[in-house]
Amino acid sequence: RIYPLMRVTLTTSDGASVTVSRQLTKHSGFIEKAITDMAVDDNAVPLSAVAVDVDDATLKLVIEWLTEHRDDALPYPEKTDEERRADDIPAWDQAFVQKWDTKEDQQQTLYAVITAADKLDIKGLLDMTCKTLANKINGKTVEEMREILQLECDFTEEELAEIRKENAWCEN
Amino acid sequence: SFPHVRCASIACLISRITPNRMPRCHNVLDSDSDSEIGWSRTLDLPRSRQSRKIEELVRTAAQATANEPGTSKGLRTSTSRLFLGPAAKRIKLEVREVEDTETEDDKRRNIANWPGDLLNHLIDYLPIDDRIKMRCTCRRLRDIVDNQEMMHTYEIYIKRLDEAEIGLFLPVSRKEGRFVIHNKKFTWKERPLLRTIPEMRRGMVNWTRHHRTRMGRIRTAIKAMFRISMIYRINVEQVNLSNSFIRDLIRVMNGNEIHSLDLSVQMFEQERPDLTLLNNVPAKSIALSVRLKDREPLPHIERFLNISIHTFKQIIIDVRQDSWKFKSSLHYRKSYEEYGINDAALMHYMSGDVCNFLRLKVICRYITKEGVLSAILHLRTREDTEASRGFCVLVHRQVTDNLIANVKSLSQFGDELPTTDAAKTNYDGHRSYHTVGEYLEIRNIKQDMTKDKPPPPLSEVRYFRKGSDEKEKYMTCRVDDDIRWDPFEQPKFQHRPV
Repeated sequence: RIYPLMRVTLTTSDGASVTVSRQLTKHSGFIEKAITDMAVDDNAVPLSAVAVDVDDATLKLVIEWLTEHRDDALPYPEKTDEERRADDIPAWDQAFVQKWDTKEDQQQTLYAVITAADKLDIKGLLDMTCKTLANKINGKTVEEMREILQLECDFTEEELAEIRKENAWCEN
Repeated sequence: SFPHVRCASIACLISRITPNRMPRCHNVLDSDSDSEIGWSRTLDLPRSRQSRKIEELVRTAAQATANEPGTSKGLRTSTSRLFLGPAAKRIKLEVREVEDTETEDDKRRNIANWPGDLLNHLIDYLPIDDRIKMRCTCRRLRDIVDNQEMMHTYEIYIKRLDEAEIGLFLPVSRKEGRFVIHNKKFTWKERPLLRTIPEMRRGMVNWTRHHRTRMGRIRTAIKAMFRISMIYRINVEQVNLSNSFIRDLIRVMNGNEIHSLDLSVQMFEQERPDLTLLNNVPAKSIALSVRLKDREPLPHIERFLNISIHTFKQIIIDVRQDSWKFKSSLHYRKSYEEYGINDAALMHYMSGDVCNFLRLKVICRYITKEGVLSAILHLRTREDTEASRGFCVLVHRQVTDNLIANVKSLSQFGDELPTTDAAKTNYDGHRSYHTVGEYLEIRNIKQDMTKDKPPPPLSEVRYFRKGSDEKEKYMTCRVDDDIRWDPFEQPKFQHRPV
């Protein structure tokens, strides 16, 4: 049972503490499980103690998103392959992602939020951020994908030649 | 090292132009003393004084810049002036501290280091072509994409874009399944042989010689798709059918099963494509829409039908004469009527074990009411009831007169179901008889009766016996065989063929 007035203190990897309502943390499967399993005193949940690498800045973004989506229905609806699509991001979420500073920072912040959402098990936020990243790389060439995702090509020369030969059609 | 390389290159160039004036002296030099006397260790060419001066200045400036207080991100900048030649040059130096070891933070923000579940979640939102490209970026992502559960691609298209181009089209998303996102236009870089140009003008060289390269690329693309996806339907539109193309198509699908193959092609007499090759296609159903370039190939199609009836579960055949060529609707119709199947052939097709549904979009002139009733009786008395079985044929209207009443006069096959309002108000107010065990529908074809010589009135008879496998939706489905289909409409091909 969730008590809306109950507050939870979250400790980040860089030592900062943030106190939030249980109404927000109910969307995080990880925090809910931590509260249940760890039987923590005073409802203080030290995230760093359970190997969650979420820094203060990222956690603030996560909380901002949770605050906006606090009234979303739970459990989060599971989507089939047919229902899953990347172009249905709500307007508020789009603006939420776009307001992150410069392009480089936005990418890094996006990655940080995705990993945080994954570790904290916030399905709605994870879906939204994955859709955003999928839209970024949609229709790009392999080289552009590597650049956007900041990936290093670790194929051997032979593998690379074979890949280029196989996928010449999608590079046009 | 930039000025050094540049000066060395210039010196190399000078040495090539005037070899006698600048002799190469590396034979007499001690390599250890290179730095003292100013010889390039790599190229054994003399370095200019300016290049050494630039190198020294850059090194000093970089050290000075590194000692200055920088920004929070460790970036330090300075601007230096170099006096080279008549004008002073200004260079800007940026020094950034780089840590050799990758931090935990960097690891987390490199998506190749993400856990597999998270990467799978991201890839779930990518369409098939992006997934294929994603697997070419690095090994980790290749393994993730390859090991992911097979995705479902509803359909892909192979289309003729214009007379010399073939393209592969992919649906943009599952919602807009028929919308085209990628117009993969493969450029034709090879010039055709001069002697083939007159043949092409005559329409004799269609596929075999010059389309193979493009088809090779399409084949590679589809094979890559098959690696990570299950494709429900492949649509081929507006291509010239030839043996070579059919073989290519079979090679594309080799080892991968699809549900249906939809071929919308044109056929030339001189190519004489062997349609029986299509029986090697690993598909459950086939829809063959042929635009005849000559009057001859209809028996050809009947030969194909006789064999494919034992291969495919669902067959839809549409044949059209190329009316622009003959400029006469008489010829246009005549080709159907001369070679239409008869009652015995319909019974033969219905008595097969494999084919569950046959739709002939040709005028079956020789099918009579007795033939239709015999086929219905045969389907009723078949022992196996697992799969729904039926047919849909285009016949002269006199065949359908009192057909429903005749079927009703036979012993009732299941309880009669009430006709829905939707059926009553359906196109052309078609008549239907609907019971628990069977479905009969008669649709009159709209025709232009204002002509001097009005065409014979036609009707389409659709009958199927319902099975227990709930596959009746294939029989009533109006997607693949639309209700407004008209045997006399002009062909849908956008371009005049070669």
